Order: sequence, then C-alpha cells, then structure tokens
Amino acid sequence: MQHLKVFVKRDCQKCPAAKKVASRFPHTEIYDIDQVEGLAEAAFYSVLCTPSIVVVDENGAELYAWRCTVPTPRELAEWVN
Amino acid sequence: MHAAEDRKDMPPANNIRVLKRREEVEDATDIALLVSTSSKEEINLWDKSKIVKSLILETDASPELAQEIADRVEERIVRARMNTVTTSIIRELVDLELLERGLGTMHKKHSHLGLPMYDVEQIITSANKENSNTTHNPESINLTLAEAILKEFALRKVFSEDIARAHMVGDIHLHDLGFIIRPYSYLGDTVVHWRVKGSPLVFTTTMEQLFHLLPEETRPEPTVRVKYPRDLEILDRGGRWTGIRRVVKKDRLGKRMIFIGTSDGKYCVVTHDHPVITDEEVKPASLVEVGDTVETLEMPGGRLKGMEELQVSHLLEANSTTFKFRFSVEDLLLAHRRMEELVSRAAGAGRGAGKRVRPLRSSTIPAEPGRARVIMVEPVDVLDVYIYDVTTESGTLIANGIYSHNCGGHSLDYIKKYGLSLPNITSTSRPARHPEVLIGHMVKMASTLQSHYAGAIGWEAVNMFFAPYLVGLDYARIKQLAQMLIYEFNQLAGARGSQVVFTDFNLYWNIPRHFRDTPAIGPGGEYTGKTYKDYEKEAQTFLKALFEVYLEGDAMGKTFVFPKPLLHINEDFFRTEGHEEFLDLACRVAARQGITYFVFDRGDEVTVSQCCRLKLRLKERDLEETKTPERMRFTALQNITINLPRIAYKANGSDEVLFNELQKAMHLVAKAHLQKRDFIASLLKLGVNGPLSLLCDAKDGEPYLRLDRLTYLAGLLGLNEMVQYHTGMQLHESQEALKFGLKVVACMNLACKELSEKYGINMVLEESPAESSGYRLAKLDMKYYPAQASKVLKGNLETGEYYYTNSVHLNVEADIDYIERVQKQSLFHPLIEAGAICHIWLGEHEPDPESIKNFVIKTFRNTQSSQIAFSPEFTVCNDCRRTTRGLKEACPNCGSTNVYGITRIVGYFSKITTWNKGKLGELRDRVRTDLKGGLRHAAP
Repeated sequence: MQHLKVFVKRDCQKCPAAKKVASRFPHTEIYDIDQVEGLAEAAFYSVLCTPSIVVVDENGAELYAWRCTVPTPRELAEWVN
Repeated sequence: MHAAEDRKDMPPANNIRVLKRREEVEDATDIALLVSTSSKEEINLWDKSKIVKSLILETDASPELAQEIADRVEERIVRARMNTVTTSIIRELVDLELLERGLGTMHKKHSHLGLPMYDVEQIITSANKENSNTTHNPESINLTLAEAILKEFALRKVFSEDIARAHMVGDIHLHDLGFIIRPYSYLGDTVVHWRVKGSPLVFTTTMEQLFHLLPEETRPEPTVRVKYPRDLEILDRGGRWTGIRRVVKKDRLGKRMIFIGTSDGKYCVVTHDHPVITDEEVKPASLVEVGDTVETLEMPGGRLKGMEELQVSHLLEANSTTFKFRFSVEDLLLAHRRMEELVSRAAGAGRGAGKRVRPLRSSTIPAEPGRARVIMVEPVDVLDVYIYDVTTESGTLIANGIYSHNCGGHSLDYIKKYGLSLPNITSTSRPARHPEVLIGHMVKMASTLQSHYAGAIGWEAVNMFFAPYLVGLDYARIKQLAQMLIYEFNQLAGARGSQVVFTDFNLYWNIPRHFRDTPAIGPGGEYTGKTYKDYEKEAQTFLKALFEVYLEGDAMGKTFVFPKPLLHINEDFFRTEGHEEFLDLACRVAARQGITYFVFDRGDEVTVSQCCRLKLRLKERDLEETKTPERMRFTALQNITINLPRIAYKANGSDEVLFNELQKAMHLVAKAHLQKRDFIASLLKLGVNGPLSLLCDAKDGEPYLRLDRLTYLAGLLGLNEMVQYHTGMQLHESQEALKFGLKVVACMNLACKELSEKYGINMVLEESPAESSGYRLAKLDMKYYPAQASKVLKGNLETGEYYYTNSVHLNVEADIDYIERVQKQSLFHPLIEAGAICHIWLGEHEPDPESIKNFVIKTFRNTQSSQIAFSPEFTVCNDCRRTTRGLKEACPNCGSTNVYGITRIVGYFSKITTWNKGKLGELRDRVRTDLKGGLRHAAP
C-alpha cells in the first residue's frame, strides 16, 4: 500500500497547500524538517526543499515525488490508489 | 620536623648555584621562563627572592605566601645537598608546594610548558606521521617542536578544563590553532557610489551608511561584523561598475590612520597598512609620499544618459539614531521616489516647500579617469571606534573619488592587476605582461601565503583568469605554459615545515555565471575592454592543456599531487559546446592518474524561488571552499571533531542517552569555539603591537595564527561504528541503520543551527579528513573503552593497525556496488554544509574512461553528492624510475625492492611510507573497483 510523505517547514508559504492536498488521502505522514526526525527523513528521500511530497510503497521505496512543488489532487491521485 | 630546627646541619644556602639560561631581555615575564633558544647557559648564585618575585608576578600570590613557599623550596634544596640546581627543578619544587597547599589555579598559572628530553630526541630522529603532507627534515622538526608547546599552551590556557579534558580523553578532537582577518580598512565617512545592479539610480553614501543599510549582519568574531549584499554594485575605476561581495565593519583597535590628500582636492583616511594604488606601485599608506600620483574620478554636474546620482547622506543623517534599524535599500528607493514627488509637487505649486527638503544632486558618471598628485600624507588622530571596508569583485573601487584597493582574497586577478608587492619582499614587480611572469608571481604569492596561512591555498577559476594572457598563442605554447604552471606549484616545497604548498585550482569548462560579465584584466594589469565570457575559448584551450599535462604525469610518469584540479560540473557545463570531448579527457586523467576531483555545483538550477531550501544558501565567499572538504581542514582552523563511537559506548543502547550525549558534545564544541574566539579577540585587542597585526602586515612567518574563513567547523568521525555499536548493523547493512545514521547527522545539523543562532557564530558540519586525529581517537577508545571499541573498530587490533571509518563514509570493505555506496553516502551531503566527498578506490585497476564518465554523470544527475574522486594506487621505483600501477613489494620492471607506494590518504595523494598505522590498516581493507560488470566492484 502506498504512503504519502509530506515534508513541510515553519514559515513556508506553500506548505499549507501541500498538506491540504495530501490530507485527502489516508496514510499520509507529515514531516517537519526543522525537527530531527523530519530532517533525517527528508535527507533519506533527497528532499532539499519544502513543500515536497513523496509517494512510497509499503517498503518505503520511492515511487514518485514532487519536490519543491505542490501537485494537483488529480496528479496525486494518479499515483495513489 | 620543623624546617628551622634542622637548618644548622645544612650547608649555607648561598653556596647553591643555579644553572639557568641567561635571559637577554630584562622583562619580568622572561625571568622564570626557559624558552629562549638564543640564550646561553650560565651559572648564577642562589637568590631566593627571585622565587618570591616570580610567584607574585605570575600567580598573584601575596608576598607572605610567596615568601613562605620560597623558604620551603630553599629548605628542600639545601636538604637535598645539591650544589647545582636548574631553574626547572626550582619551578617543579615551587609547583609541588602550590599543589600541597591545594592552590590549583596558581599552579596552572605557574606551570612550565616543555618537552621531556626523550620526546625531543624522538621528534628529531623519527618522522612525524601526523601530517602525511610533509617529509622529515629540519623545518618539519621545528614545526613539530613548536606545535607540541603550543598545543599544550592551548589546552591549558585557551580552553577551559572541561574542554581540555574532553580532548585529552578523546571525546572530541580540537584541531589546529588560531585565525585572523586582515584589518586593512577605511574610516566610516569615506564616500562611495553604488547602485542596485543595472539600475540607473546611483546612491552616494558613506561606507558606514552603506553598511547600516544592508540587512543580515553576521559576526564571525567579536570585533568584526560582515554583511553580504545581493545585487549591489559599486563604482570602480574609470566609471565602471563592480559587484559588491561584502561590506565589513571592524573595531579599529587603535590602528594608526593616515590622511592622504590629493592636488584635486580629494582626500581619504585609511589604516596605515591599507594598500594604496599609485602610478608606480601598490604600497601601504604609510609609505605613500608627497608627489606620488594617484588615479581619481571626477563627479561633475550634468546628466549622462539615464544615469542619476542620488546624494542621500543627508537623508540618513537626518535620522541618524534610527536609520540603522529602519531603512533598507528598498526603503531608500521608495523614499527617493516619494521625495521626488514632493519636490515636483512643490515646484508645480510654485511654493517654497523645497526649503525643507534639500535638493537632490544629479551628476554624470564620467568615462575618463583623472590623475592627481598626492600633496599631503599625514598620520591623523581620529576618534572613530570602527573602520570599514567594501570587498568588490574587481578588488578595487572609487572611495572619496580616489581609485582604491579593498581587502579581497587572493585571486589571480589581484596579481594580474597590481603585480607582486608583498610586505616581506623588498622589491616590487609591476603587473605581468607575459604569461610566464604571471606564473612566477602566482607561485611567489602562494609561497608567501603559505607561510602566513594554515595550509591550502585555493585559486578560483585559474584557467579563466589566465585566458586574457593567451590570446593569439599557438597550442604548443599554451601547453608549455600549462606544464610550467603545474610543475612550479607541484615542486614548491620551501615553505613552512618544508611542505609542498597545498594548492587547489578551481577549473571551469564553461565560464561561471558570476564571472561572465566581469571586466577582464589582461597583460600589464590593464582592462581589456572585454568581459570574461569573451575569453571562453582561450580558457577552454588552457584547461585542455592543463589536463593533458596531468594525464602525462611528471618525468617518471607519476601523478602530480598538487595543484589539485577541482573540475566544476554544473548544468551549464552540459550546455557548453565541446563539453563531451573535454569530459572524456578529464575522465582519462581520472582513470590513469586519479588526480581529477569532480565537484558538483547543483546550486542555482535546483533553486525554486518560492520553496524553502533545506540547505542554507551558500555565501559567495564560501562557495569555492565549501565544495572541497580537504581544503577546509587547512583553512577553517577552528575545527573540532566529535568522536561519535564514544557516544554510542556511553549510551549503551539507549536512544535517549545517545541523543543527549550528542547534544552535550555539540554544546561542548560550540563552547570550545567561543573560547578560541575569545582568545583570538584578546590577541586582536593588542592592536598594532600584537602578534596578529604583524601577521596582517605579513612581516612575520608565525604559522600558528592563520587566516580563516570565519566558519566554525564541527567534524564527524566514525558514524559507521557509532551506528554499528548502537543498532548492531553497519550503515550499509540495513535501511534502519542508514536511517539512524541520518538521524544522528540531522540532529547535529539542527544543533549547529541552534548554537549558531544562540552564539552569533557560523557553525557547520564537515567531514573531518581526520587522517591523524581519527587514529588518535581510536587509540584512546581502545584505552578507555576497550570492551566496546574492540567490537566495532576496523582493521587489525593485534598489529595496532586499527581505525574508525572516516566521517559518515560507509565501511571501506563493505561488499556493495560503488553506485550504491555513492548513493547512500551522498544522502548525508546536503546535511554537511562545509563539504563532503565520496572516494572511489581503484587500486591497480585502470577503468575505461567511458565507465568513469558514466559514473560522473550518474552521480551528478542521480545523487546529492558534493564531490567525487577516483583513486588509483601506484608503485614508484627509485632505481629504474618507472611508475607502475598497483602497490607492489618490488618493481615489476627491474625487480628492485627500492620502491615506494602512492595513493590518496584522504583528500590528497601521498607516499604510503608517511602514513600512520590506522591509515595503513584502512588501506589494506579498501575495496577496489574497476567499475566493470554493472559497476560491481572487483575483488582487491
């Protein structure tokens, strides 16, 4: 089953939009890259900026990612079933 | 027994003779110190009052206490029936008395720094393997001896006891000492003309005002404030514009100021050592004479197409107490527009509203510079507490209408423009007209810098800066110049400690964007009227020639060690014509000689304006250095490495303890940095008579206080072993282990940010090269945590050839594909802002250059790696002088066993005979690859 990993940061203008798009899907995890856990996870998925959304499979392998951009709900839906 | 009772049996005290080195200087502080090498042995009669005096002077003891201790010491000496006693024995006896009385602080102040006879003998007779970039020779012996004393001094005097202790027991490793910045500067009221890049609106303000208009001040040290404006340029020679790199405000610290007045009514007040550009030469202000000619720039009235000069000093002065906080450059533009509106409205209404608003002065920016004679040069007393400087891309600017110098770094353009004029060299050269002369200037400059700086001297865009000298030359000549440049640098071994000068050449196939529109300087130091983008072809030809020389190697066919070619790869590289052919050549060099460093600049291309970057935007001055971790070790002296495995031992499996200990270690590192900073500040406070001023004037070769990039480094060592001890898996063995490693480094990264903010310093992580400190920390762990360390240490515990894996690297003997290795290691690179590298050990393999090329492109495109290098191994025969691939016991050509091996120790090639045991252990374990078979490594 796919998961969404959403990477956000304090004072990031587009982050609320990313969270909103992702919140339509179950299995969404939000990571704050100002926190240790969030930053470590961001580094693992080579996320260098926020907002970013990474779709991963059940093993945590990356299937698709939007780095530094916010996908439309439709774009996101194409990758998450 | 009471001393007095026993005294009658003793010889009279005045029979005792003291063996002491006679001090030449009658300075009280010298009396008790045995440090002068020029002193001669002499015998003095016993004088107890000297002990009393030295105790009062050095430890602030009361006269009564000092007398009491002196009595006791005399008594002990008399009782020991010694006829002759050395001053060091007296000092030890005094120390003993202090310790017996529990006077630890006094003892610390009074203690003696020195080396046992045995240690000195060892240093003289055996090579120091702490630094693999040096040989054993008289100069390196001096360096090691001096280092030993200064290290002890630093640990006792500069750092607090907890930090010194953490270093001694191996929780952390404090790297070298000291730094300084050059204090050339102007007075704050010096007028400059500047604008937003390309804007028709020109501002005229004082340097002080310019500084305060800019946002985001950084304080690299207590007496220095620096701001980095974006997109501003300042008026330079002949009405040209040059980009502003930084504006600096410094405490004047009593520096002498010189007033220079010119025949056309201009003047400037600068520090006595400020380089002044006269028609003849560039010389310190204190050497400028009446009658010297300087270049000036007139600012006559009238309007030049679209240019408008805005005199805003009065605006700022009107509100002098608050403008520092309230105005920015944008505010100023708005204020200007508003005032224009007011003035025009007032004029339209025919009323005298203009009375209250001073009229704006407009003027042209003239194209032709003038000449003026210096009519007055006088030292002046000023009350100013601060001095200022503007660093520009060209290295010069117009200050108070006079063509002047600023304190930019050591770029090749500096030498091209001014020739060679170093304070420690008596003769002065004019700017080079011929490329050979330019190479000579560069080499001399580098060797002088080497004796004043800690180590690596990095040169930016060498092939590009050389290009204007190469116009019209045929390829054979250009190749000869490339050869000369490389040999001159590679064999320059006369400097401090007889080391080869550690040189980095930053090289570009495509002219870097930030230099494309920079006016080019050509032969004779003259502007050519073109910008560097117009010299792309010459720059490329020279780059090609340099790499052909690197490919051939030296007279024995062996690889050059320095200057290290750092080839910058960015998106523009792949868009520039001819890049494929050149990349083939660079990869052929990497395959055969290994010397190419591929540096990846992903910067601008991935920046999306609205997104929040994980990594801080790199400051311009940092750009070149942060890409090259090996160099960082030498230039950022404030490096403190954290022994990560030790933290895991202490945590004993508990996450909570581990992250707590990690935080504690980071705080300790910040505290140590602050203590070092305070020590440096205390030296700076000594002003012109202090050691740092001498160093600034480049008259003294003292190597322990060196220029720094003003970054405080926190180094990592042994992440792999930390994770292994804590989770039971090494970084390459499971995803959980890798993620745990990332969590550790993320925690350190965030701690750096928090501590930087808290203490106003710029603290960042770096991959410590740690070729010696890594071994030291491993040895200390075997001493204090043998049960734990022996479970994870790599190498051979029995022979002592054990080691911790470098920084965040994966185990060198891990059985994984090199692509995977680079991918995994690169995940850490964005968190390590001061630079990181992935090594690909080739061993005796000489992979197909095409494989290297694929590897480089894949690494650039698919990973976050900052830098990669491919390292082959070589055997050099001393008898037949042949160089062969791989490490061999005997020469495959002539069979001689008189051979030595060469490969990369960390970030540079060196002879394996100079390596320490830990590094030898690592060398045995390195998995070598031929990059064949789906890039799967081959067995060693």
